[in-house]
Amino acid sequence: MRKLLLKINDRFISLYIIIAFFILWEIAPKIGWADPNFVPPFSRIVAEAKKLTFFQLFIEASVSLKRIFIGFTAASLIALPVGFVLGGAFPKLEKFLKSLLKFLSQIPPFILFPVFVVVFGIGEKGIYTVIFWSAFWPVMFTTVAGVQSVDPLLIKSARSMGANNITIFFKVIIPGALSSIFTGMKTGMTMSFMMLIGTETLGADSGLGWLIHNSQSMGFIPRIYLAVILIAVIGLAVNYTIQWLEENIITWKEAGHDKAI
Amino acid sequence: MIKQYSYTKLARENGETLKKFNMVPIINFFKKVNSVLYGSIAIILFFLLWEVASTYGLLPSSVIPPPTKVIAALATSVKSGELIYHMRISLFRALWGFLLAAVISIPMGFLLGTFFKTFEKALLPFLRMLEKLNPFALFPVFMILFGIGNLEKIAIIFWVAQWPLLFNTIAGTRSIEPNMIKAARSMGANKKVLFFKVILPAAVPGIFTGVKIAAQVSFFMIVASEMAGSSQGLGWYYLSCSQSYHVPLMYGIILFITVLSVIINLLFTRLEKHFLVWKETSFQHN
Repeated sequence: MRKLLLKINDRFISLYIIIAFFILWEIAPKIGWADPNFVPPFSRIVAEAKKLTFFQLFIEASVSLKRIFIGFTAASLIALPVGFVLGGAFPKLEKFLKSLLKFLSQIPPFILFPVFVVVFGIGEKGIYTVIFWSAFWPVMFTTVAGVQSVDPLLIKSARSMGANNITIFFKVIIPGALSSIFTGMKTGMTMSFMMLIGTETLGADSGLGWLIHNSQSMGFIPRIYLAVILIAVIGLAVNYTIQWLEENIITWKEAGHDKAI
Repeated sequence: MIKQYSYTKLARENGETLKKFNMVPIINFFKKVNSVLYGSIAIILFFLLWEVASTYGLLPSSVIPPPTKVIAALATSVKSGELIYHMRISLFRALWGFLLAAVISIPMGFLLGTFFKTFEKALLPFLRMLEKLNPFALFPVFMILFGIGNLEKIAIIFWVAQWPLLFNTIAGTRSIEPNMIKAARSMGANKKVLFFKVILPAAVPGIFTGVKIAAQVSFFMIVASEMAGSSQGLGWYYLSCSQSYHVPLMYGIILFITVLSVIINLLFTRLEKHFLVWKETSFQHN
């Protein structure tokens, strides 16, 4: 019994600190450790969420998620073929373009937003382009690296067994490069989610970033904290979804390693 | 078999002659110059293409001005001293936040990673949670807590730079082989010797990976936070250009910021590599 309790304690030891943090947040403004106007107690933030209604929050979140989804999908759809072609078919071209691509990828996507507004006009296009830009580079670079990291011996042996180019591509190169690609997709997703909030605070009329910007300019301080928590929760959910996808799609790598060992 | 042998012999002789005249560094130097030149061809071509497309009307030159105009706008801004002024303010803020984070987070990482392991186990998920908070979403919170100004900017940079430093320091101290600590202890090393002779040298490469990431993040975030709310600095200068529709200078500042971040990146990558090489050679000696 004591062992079991200790085990449970061990499992939940990290939860204690999180719970303590929220309790401190609740108590500190009430007993005067922090200014309740600037740091409202946690219960007031929950009350603010109830006041705004779940429906309203859901709409803002879904607008942001839609933007991420469109921008990220477009970036992946273009970056993956480009990465495969550069990494697999034209390695010399890749070497030639590498410095230019690195240079372009160094441009912070967030500061490109005003330029995109100038070029594409105000509206959704600028936001999509920023998300596209921030997701494109990680996905493309890791695809190139993934394709190049495929063991040439595997390709040669597949070819010697009579596989044509298409079979090699689908059966050897894609499975070999996929775990690297997923790493890039995770980075791209984190980046684009971060940039999305930034661009929405700069110029948008809806979405989670706009919620922050709006409540900041109106002086609704509890609402700012609410939006911060909401963004953190949604960001975590998005991250876990990609991780879940990765674990469920890439099942062969570890099994193969076990057999090899 | 015979052919292979002769090739290796030839290669060895070649290598010996190279060594005799000490040609290796010179050849390496030329290889380096060659690769840099080869890499810059694509960048130069890109700018040339942009110039041609913009001047001959393939691109709308009012919204995408040719690079010559961009450079000219940048040059006038440098000459008037405005750009340098704002750059100095931005770099000053980023540097202070970064230094503060380094001074606080690296010792914290050592403490958490070595001597307070249970505490670290309890604290780490909470810290990971804080790390995941979106910094853009936190800008208004920092503005509420610190007001708008240098203090707020430094606090933001401190916040974003501390996570890579802290986690990489913890990871660096974790990467020490337990056998080394045991061996040192069995030879009678006290905690102080253990720390300075075993733990610190083994953790340094991990720390410098953290330093590199933190430097990149802090430069990026200072520009972003100045765009969110400020009256000075590169980010504000850029935003004010975009509001007054000074398009060539907008592109110029983007170019300037990108080049600055490339320089910072290269500098810290060099620093990181320096310490990585040191680790590898020390391992080889072992």
